[in-house]
Formats: sequence, structure tokens, C-alpha cells
Amino acid sequence: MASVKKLPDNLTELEKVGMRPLLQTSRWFALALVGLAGVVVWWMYAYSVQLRGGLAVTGMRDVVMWGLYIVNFVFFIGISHAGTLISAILRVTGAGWRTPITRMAEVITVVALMIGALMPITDLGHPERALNLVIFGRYQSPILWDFLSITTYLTGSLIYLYLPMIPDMAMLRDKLPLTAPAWRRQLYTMLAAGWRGTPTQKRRLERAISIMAVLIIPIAVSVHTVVSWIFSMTVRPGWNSTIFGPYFVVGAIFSGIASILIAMVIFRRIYRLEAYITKKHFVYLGYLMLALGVIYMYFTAAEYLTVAYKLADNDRQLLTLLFTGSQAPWFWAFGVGGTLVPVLIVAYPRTRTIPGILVAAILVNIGMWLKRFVIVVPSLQVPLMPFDFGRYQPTWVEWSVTAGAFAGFILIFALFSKVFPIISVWEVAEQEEKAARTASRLVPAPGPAAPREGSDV
Amino acid sequence: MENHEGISRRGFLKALAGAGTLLAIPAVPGLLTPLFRRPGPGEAVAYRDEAAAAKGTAASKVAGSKLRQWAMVVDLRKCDGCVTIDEPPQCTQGCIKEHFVPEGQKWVQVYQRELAGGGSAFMPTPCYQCENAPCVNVCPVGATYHNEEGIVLINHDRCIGCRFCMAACPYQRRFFNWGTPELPPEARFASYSPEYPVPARRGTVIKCMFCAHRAAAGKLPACVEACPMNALYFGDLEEDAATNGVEVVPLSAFLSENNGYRYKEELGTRPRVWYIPGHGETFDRLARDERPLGQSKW
Amino acid sequence: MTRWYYGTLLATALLAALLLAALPRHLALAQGPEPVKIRVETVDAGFKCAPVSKNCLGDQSGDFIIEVEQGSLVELTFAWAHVGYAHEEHIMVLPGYRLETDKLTSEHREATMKFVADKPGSFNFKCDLECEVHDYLQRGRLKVSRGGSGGAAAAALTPTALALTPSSWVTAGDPLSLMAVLKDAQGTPVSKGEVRFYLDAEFAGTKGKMEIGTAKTDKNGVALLSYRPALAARQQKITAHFEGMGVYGESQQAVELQEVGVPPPAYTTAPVGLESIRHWAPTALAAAVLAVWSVFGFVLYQAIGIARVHARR
Repeated sequence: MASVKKLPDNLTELEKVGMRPLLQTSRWFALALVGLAGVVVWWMYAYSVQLRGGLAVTGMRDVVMWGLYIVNFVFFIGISHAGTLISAILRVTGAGWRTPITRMAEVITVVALMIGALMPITDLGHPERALNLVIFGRYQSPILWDFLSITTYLTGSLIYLYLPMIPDMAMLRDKLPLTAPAWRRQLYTMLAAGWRGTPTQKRRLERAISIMAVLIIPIAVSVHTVVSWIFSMTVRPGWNSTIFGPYFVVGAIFSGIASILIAMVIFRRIYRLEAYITKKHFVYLGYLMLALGVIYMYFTAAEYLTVAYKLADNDRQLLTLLFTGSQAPWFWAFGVGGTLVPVLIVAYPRTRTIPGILVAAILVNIGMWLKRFVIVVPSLQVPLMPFDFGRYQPTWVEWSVTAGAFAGFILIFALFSKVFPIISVWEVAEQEEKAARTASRLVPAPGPAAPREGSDV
Repeated sequence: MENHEGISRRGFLKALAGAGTLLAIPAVPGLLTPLFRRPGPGEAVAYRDEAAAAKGTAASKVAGSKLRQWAMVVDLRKCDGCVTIDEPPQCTQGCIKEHFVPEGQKWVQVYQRELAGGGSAFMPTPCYQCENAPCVNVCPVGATYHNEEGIVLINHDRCIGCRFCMAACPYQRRFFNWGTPELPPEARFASYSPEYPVPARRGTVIKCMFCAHRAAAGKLPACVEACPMNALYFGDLEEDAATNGVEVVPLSAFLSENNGYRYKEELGTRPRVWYIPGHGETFDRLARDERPLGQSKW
Repeated sequence: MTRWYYGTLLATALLAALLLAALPRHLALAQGPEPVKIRVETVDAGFKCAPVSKNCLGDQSGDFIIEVEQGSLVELTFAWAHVGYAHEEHIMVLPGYRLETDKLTSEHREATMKFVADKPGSFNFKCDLECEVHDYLQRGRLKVSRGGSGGAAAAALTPTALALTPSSWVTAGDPLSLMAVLKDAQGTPVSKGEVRFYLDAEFAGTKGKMEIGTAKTDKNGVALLSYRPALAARQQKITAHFEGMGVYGESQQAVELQEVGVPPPAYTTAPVGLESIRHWAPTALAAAVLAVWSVFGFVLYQAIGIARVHARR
């Protein structure tokens, strides 16, 4: 990799920025990749232990029969909404500032879905029978709905990730330095799909993208709705709720935006994207996160108040567990640290800086993971028969799988950024042109590029 | 050169489209299955879904050409939790013995319930075999199903071990074989069937199945037979009769006369197990009796 | 002379007629011992024995006790004798012997329970109505002392007979009316008698008499029970049983039923799913999924088109 250091001269600055990460890799980055790969190998080992010993090696037992795997499943499916939903909504609403971040968001979606879909399979007692879902699938079961909507969403997201990449692939095919390895050239040639940038081709591509952008929004909403229905189709305290669908969707977008923000900070730093991902992007997305955080708090209040007011017997046990009992630290860490504090950080202008927003985004993601934990586990702990509260203590296997899932997520994301440009080069260029034209129309004195507001910190 | 490239690209895209279609295929049959496929004989299908199933298979019919609809009544007035005879609950023991129940699982568990004014009553809990069974409703692969006689069975060859049924069961009556169950050698010789799921298998859900194998042979379930107080009645809603092995009672009248109720009736699960309120008074167990339940042995 | 003769003859005939008329009653009484006659007045303050009897142990107090020996024939008469409470009404019951009187009011002042005290023990009797202020006053106890001179054999119960009449052929699944008529040895209908109906049942290897219902006889001695055969067995034996009450003895009668035709299912599971939704839901779901996937296909086709558009040019 280190062999190719120099970029060809026939590139625009933007193209250079897009191409540089593909050809140059810092030592630290490589080291991080190796570290992540190590964790992933550890994950594989932990899973092999589970395959040999059965689920007995986990902390799950008959009363609390779901644990970290399902928590991770909901979490990853949640952050998968980052992506496509944000980029699609912004595209449909014609928000021009989205262009530098859409690719990232879309990749988060695809990777998070792939990792997330592995989690329930990890949770199966008979993973080798997963195909029974296809052979014997019952349409009445929420799990089949999940299976359908997640496969549909994953396929749609892959298409939606691929389509806007075609012009960039063509750019790479045409402008990749000759010293680049042959497999890259072949890959880009194949993926470029004969793109020459003719008006007919552009029209076709635009049409395909806009169809997908519209279609992907209801699919994404359906995915997390259906995930929530796995819980709310039961009569368990805390799960037996009608607002779970929208509650989960809002939570998913909330944590999805936080994930994009974290990814933006990291890639901006290591790939030197400061000129394209500016404070404006952080602030705009921060606002979105703020809005969704407030909606999420509203939903949370609505959910718990209606239950706490009536205080059915099982609900009382659940709420005691959550508010003051053994799960209270996690619940309040989510409630205060995961929603209230981040919302305040973004709301307060003095802390609405890139580091501030990064802190808020990290808090949101930790909080939302905890939230999924306090949705899944305490509800199962509540005794449905006259016995004591169930107990759950995750074992090292479950923690290893969890760590491996996160490492795998970051690893695939990082590898992607080494093979494909992490910003949509052609869309950014197009957006800049458009901005320049608008600027030139408004201001008689033309500049080469529109001045970007809110430049770097 | 360029032309050649174009063709290869087209080929790739065709392959991509083909792959997309292939990806689509797995989703479809699962959906279409209930639309187009008629269940084969003995196939796991919720019997209420299929009008054909209502006619039943020949094997499940009794002499009068009626389908059994099994039910159970637990007369709590007679249930003393076996504390007055200083034994662990004998229904649980009988069940464990009959099915080689893996250690830790109590398919028929006796719970101690608090009474209104203090004191306690015992409550034996088999699987309630709900008519509107949440477990059957949520199973993604149809591994758990009603047989024609209303018993909820599990096909352990099909169960994928997702445990959704356990999450859905409002009575905590399902168990999971987390590891390889430790079984006595004789259990290995049993021939498995959903009606008699022995030996238990790792990674699958298991539960009380009303001793369907014994019912088919005209015998009472193991727990009913094992109860020294004759507190458990096994009955047939179709024949409207039930027996505890000593007397035969008219099921519906017996329930009405003695204020029979079902646990968590308000959930609408329509269990096939009824209780008659009491705390073992028939055998002079006082409500405030403090003798604890005996420890079950596997 | 003749007149005297005829007069004497007439008188003798009259006497004979009178004797004859009186004879059956004497004969009937001669079969058993004299009944123990007890007359209890319901007064404002409770019960009062009038005339005073040796069987009355308590009077006008909270502990009003009547004692008789086991085996004696008892005629317990209640007489309405209120002074201050003209609207008081009573129905006296003796649950231990399953006996109850007709209603006592200021107009209908006397009612009698006649029974053989065959069970020893202590039995409560009381007013079964909501008796204004006297609710707690009109109550007493009947003590039947064990053994005694007469013993159980002293007073024979009047034998009864039950006639059970359903048709012996019934259509499967149809409810049938079981009619039992209860009469004493003289053919007089016995009212207020409790008749229990049993079925010879065999279920899951257990045989037994399964009670299928209870009915009380009316004034004509008729007890009616509607019953729908549910057992799978084609041949069913139903027994009506009267276990005795007051002076009446036990009796029973059985009948065999033959079911014809195939019985319809007696128990139907409630509709659990929403039938109408079940018909279109899978179609709708499949349509939605297929629609989405065909759009995917269309979009991919567009992507293929990108290459073709260029190649054609």
C-alpha cells in the first residue's frame, strides 16, 4: 500500500481528497486495523466456544432468555437508520449540504445491518437451521416480518449505496494512477458500469437514485417498527405498548445521527476532509439530533408516565426495577446521560462546537445502547409467575461477541473507506458548481467557488 | 477494446440484477407458503388455520368419532403441595420421571402463592395449552403448534431456538435446553416424537405436552397419576368429563359449581387448564401453614 | 219396636261407618310409633313451645333447642303467633334434613315438617327469609340423640318410587329431557324432593357414576332435567336417585340410552384470529414485498441501462 504515494496531477483538489485514502495508509491506521481484526478473531473464538458448549456458556437462562445479543441486534439495526434514512430524507428534501456525508451515512447503514443481522443468528440455539425461516416461514410471526424487512432493507441499502458510487467509480477507473494494483482497476471498471457521464446516463442515474431515495424511507421505517414489534407483540410489562413502533424508529434515527457525527469527526480528521465537512455540517446534524432527542424524551415520558400512572402489578415491579432497583444506574444513565445531557450540549451555543457535538454523539450512542438494554433485560426479569425476579449476568462470551461486533463494524467501515471514496466526489463537485452558479447569479463578481459559511474551527 | 469492456460490464450488471433477484427469492416462499401449500398429514400447522384439520386424522379420533379436546382441572382445595406427606411435589416428580426432564426444569411446577389475608396456597402449573397461544402465534417456523386435540406441541426437528415463544408466554411455562441435557442412559433409548420429546435436545425449547403420548394410549398424564391427593383432573371438553383417577366428574358443571377459573384469564389466551380455588383445606392444610415445599429431585 | 230396631241398626251402621272411616288412619299409625308432636310458635321475641313439651329444652332465649331420639317420627309444627309484627313472614328450614315449610304469614298460620329423625347430631333450623328484626331470633337447634329406646328401626320410612322416562333412543347431539316422577307407596306425588341424575361414565380408564344434574320435584312429583349426552360411548346408562327426605325413603331408577347418528362436536374453540384479516393479510404482505423487490429490479435494470445507453451510442 505504501508503494503508491503520489497522486496524479490531472486531479482536482476534490478528487485528490477522495482518492488519497485509497492509496495512502498511515501506520497508525494500519495498526488500528490489525487491532480491530484481532478483536474480530477473538469474537470468532468466543462464538466457537458457544457453538461447542451451546448457549449454556452465556448468562441467559429460562427466565431472562434474551440478553446482550438481542440488545446489540436492536442497537445495530438502530444505527443502520443513520444512514439511508438521513441521506434519503435529505436528498428527497433537496438539502444541498448533505453531499459530503451521504456516502458515510449509507455505509453505516449497510455495515450496521450486516453486523446487526448476525446478532439474532448468534442468539439462535440452532443457527444451522436459520434457513427454516425460508422453508417453513410463518407470515404471522414478527420474526418473519423482521427477516423480510431486514433482507429488503439490506438489499435496498446496497443498491442505494452503489448507485451514487457509479460516477465516482468511473472517475477512479479513469484517473487512478498507473501504479495502482490491477485488482483496483478491474474492480472500479466493473462497478463503473460503463459510465461516461453522458446526459442520458445522468438522467437514468438520477431517476434510479431518486426512486431508491423515496422507496428506502418507508422500508427503513418499517424495519425498526418491525423490530419493536418483536417486543410489543407480547404481553410482557414494558413491552406491551402501542407506541413502540414510532418510539423505536425515533430512537433509531437519534442514535443513527449520533453515529454519523462520530464517523464524520473521525474521517474528517484522518482523511483531512476539513474543507468539505465543515462546522456547518456538524451544527445542522446536531440540530437534527437535538430535535430527535427531544422527540425521544417526549416518547419516553409518554411511555413511562402512562404505565406508571396506572401501575399494574407487573408494571410496578418493572418500574421499581428501573427507577430505583438494580437496573436504575443504567436507566438513569440513559435518561440523563444519554438524552438530556447531549440535548443540552447541542442546545447551548457555547458547547455547540465540533468537540462538544462529538461528546454529545458519543453520549447518545452509549445511552441508546443502555436504553436497548433496559428495554430487553428488565422486562424479562419481572416475574410473571409467583417467583423472584430473574437474574442476568452476561458472561465473557457475550461480552466478547459484543466487542467483536463493534470491532467488526468499525473494521468493515474502515476497509470500505480504503477501497471506495468516503465522500461522494461527484455530488460534492456538482453541489459546489451549483452553489457557484447561484452565487454568481446573485453577486455579479464571480468567484471560483462559493464561500462556505462557517468554516473550520 | 471498449466494446469488449462494455459487454463485460453488461454481463456484470446482469449478474448483479440476477443476484438481486436471487436475494429476493428467499423472502418470497416463506410468504407464499401459507397461501399455496396445503399441509401434509401430520404436518405442523396450527389446527385452527386449516378447515381441513378440523376433520382431524383418523388416529386422533376416539370411538364415538369425536375429536378429543383435552383439558385439566386443578382442585387447589386438595393441593397441599405435598407438605402434609413431607414429600417434594409429586406431580413434578411424576413428570420428571416420565419424561426424563433435564435437571433444573420443572414442566409441572408448583408455585406458592400468597393469599388475600396472609398465608399461602400452592398452585401446580403445567403448560396451559392456551387456545389463543401466544407461543404458537409468534413462532416463526411453525415449530410449535396445536395438534387436533388442542395440545400445544413442539417439533424439535424444526425449532431454531430463537426463544421468542418463551418471551411471548405469559406464564413462563417454557424451558430451553441451554446446554446438552444430562440424561440417564435409559432416556437415550426413547424414540423421539413431539408427543414424547425424549431425549431432550440441546438448543431447543421444551415444555409440558399434557402427556400426549399417554393420552393417545388412554392413560392419564403422569402428574395426574402421581398426585397422591387426587387434586389433578384430566378431562375432555368434547366429552365434558374429567377424572382424577378416582371419580369421574362432569367437567363444565364441576367448574361452574366450584368457581373454576383460569390463571390470568384477562389476557385472552384461553388456557385449557382451570383452577378451583383453595389452599389444601381438604387435607387439613391451614392457609397459614408454614411448611415449605419439598425440593424436587432429578 | 221396629222403630227402635231400625234406629239401633242405623246407629250401629253409622258407628261402623265411622269406625271404618277412622280405621285406615289408625292402621297407618299402628304401623309405626306415635309421632313426636312439637308445636313451635314464632313470637316477637323468637320461638316458644306451645303447648309446652318435654322435647323443648330452651325457650325464648338465644338457645332454643328441641331434642328428639334417633329413629322417632317427628311432626314439627311452626305456628305464626306474632303480636307486634303483623307483617312478619317465615319459611322455616332444617337444612340438615333438607326440609322446608310452606310460607307462614298472619293468614296462613301453621306449617308442619314431618320426618324421621334418622340422623343423629345437632341441626340448625331457622327462618330462611329476611325477617326484619327477627332475623337472629327465629333460629334454633334440633338435637337428635343417638340410640334411644326405639333406635333406627322404630320409625320406618315411607317407601317411594321413581319413574324415569326419557325415550330410550336419542339423536346424537340433541339435548333430551329426563323426567323423573317421585311417588310414595300410596301413589301420592312427593314434592320438594331432590332427584340427582347420574351417568355411568368411563373416562381415561376410570369408571364411576358421574353426576349430570339435580332437579327438585314439583307439586306433582315431577323432576325435569335437560341433558345433552356428551360421552363418546353410544350406550349410556342414566340413573335417577332420590336419597330420601323427611318421612320418605330412598329410591332410584335407571334407564339405558342408545345414541343414534354422528354427534356434532360439542366443544368449539372460540374464533381466535380475525377471520377476515387472515384471508387477505398474507396476500397483502406478499404483494407489498414483491412490489418493493420489483422496484429494486427496475432500479437495477436502470443501472444496466447506463451501460447500454453508452454502448449503443
